[in-house]
Amino acid sequence: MILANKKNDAELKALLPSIKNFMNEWQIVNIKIVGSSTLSQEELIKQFLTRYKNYDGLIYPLSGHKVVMLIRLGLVSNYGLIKSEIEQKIPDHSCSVMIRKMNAEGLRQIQVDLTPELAPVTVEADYFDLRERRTENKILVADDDRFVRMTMMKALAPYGQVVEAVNGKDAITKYINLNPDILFLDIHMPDKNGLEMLEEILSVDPDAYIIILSADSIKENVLGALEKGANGFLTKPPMKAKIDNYIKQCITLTK
Amino acid sequence: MLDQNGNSPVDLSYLHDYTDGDEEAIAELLEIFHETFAEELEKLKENVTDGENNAWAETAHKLKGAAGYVGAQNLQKLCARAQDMKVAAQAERQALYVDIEANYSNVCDFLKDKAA
Repeated sequence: MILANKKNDAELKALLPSIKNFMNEWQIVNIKIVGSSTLSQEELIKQFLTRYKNYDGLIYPLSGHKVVMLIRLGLVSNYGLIKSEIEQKIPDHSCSVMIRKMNAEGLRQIQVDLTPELAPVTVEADYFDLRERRTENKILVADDDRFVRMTMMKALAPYGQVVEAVNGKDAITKYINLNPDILFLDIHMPDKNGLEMLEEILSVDPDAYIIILSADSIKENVLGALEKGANGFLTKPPMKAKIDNYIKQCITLTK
Repeated sequence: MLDQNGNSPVDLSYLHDYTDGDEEAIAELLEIFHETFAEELEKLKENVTDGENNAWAETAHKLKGAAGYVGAQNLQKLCARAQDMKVAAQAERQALYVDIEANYSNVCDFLKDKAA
């Protein structure tokens, strides 16, 4: 989906529902321009829009000296460049750039900012934001082998509340209810294959942090897991240092 | 209870790392290991059949994983061999089952001695 610059409300309103379906492809960049020049807000934003008129994305002025941009993931790698470009273009102003994941909360915020009169678009519960906000770490270990579960739970206990799931169905139910910061997911389970579950969970929570566990580190399993969106792969038994490493990389697991 | 090369049949360094050396926790985990391994071994025995048998391979896979956590490398290798025998003759499975059972028994004896 290519979004051209949309500068009127009608076009934006028409666009919002479709953005919802492509959330994973976009990220939000909130830009706030502040300063003490004699430029009016209108002139300021006009300058900004002029600068980015050929930009393949969505730019829209918000209230105050703020602009929101929606950018395709990977399109811009250096946001410091955006900041310095804007500051160069608009003298006597500084610019703060905040990058957000394009998730349900972000979408809701855009709706509020851009089209407050619209009824909110119904979106999936935003698991990521809830994880970020809460104060307790939650970890889910899904494995049909009780001994493996218990062993992993002992290893993970120092990091927060650890909950076990005994099969695939149990893992899905507990994932939805617990919203864990990290899921350690076994591939071979009697009722559901871990790789299928990985896809299922990512379809409801695209930001899920999932580490696949398997006693078979065959290429098919490792690549399959990573291609389907797993954040990592651990061969059983994993070294404690490797577990710790994945824990450290989990953004929301820092409480 | 060392093997013919004088090596220990288990290496509890994984469990040691996971529990931060807590002997009580290691003992608790080993108890669960024995319970679950024995159950699965029983299932493997029930699946000593002729021809294609997914349940045999799946059970062997589970045993292989568990053996790895207690560092029972020989046992793990035997279970890996069993996992690869999705299609096999009954006699072939029976022979491997006997080896796995004997190796597990060796692991049990070693752990019992260690605990004493």
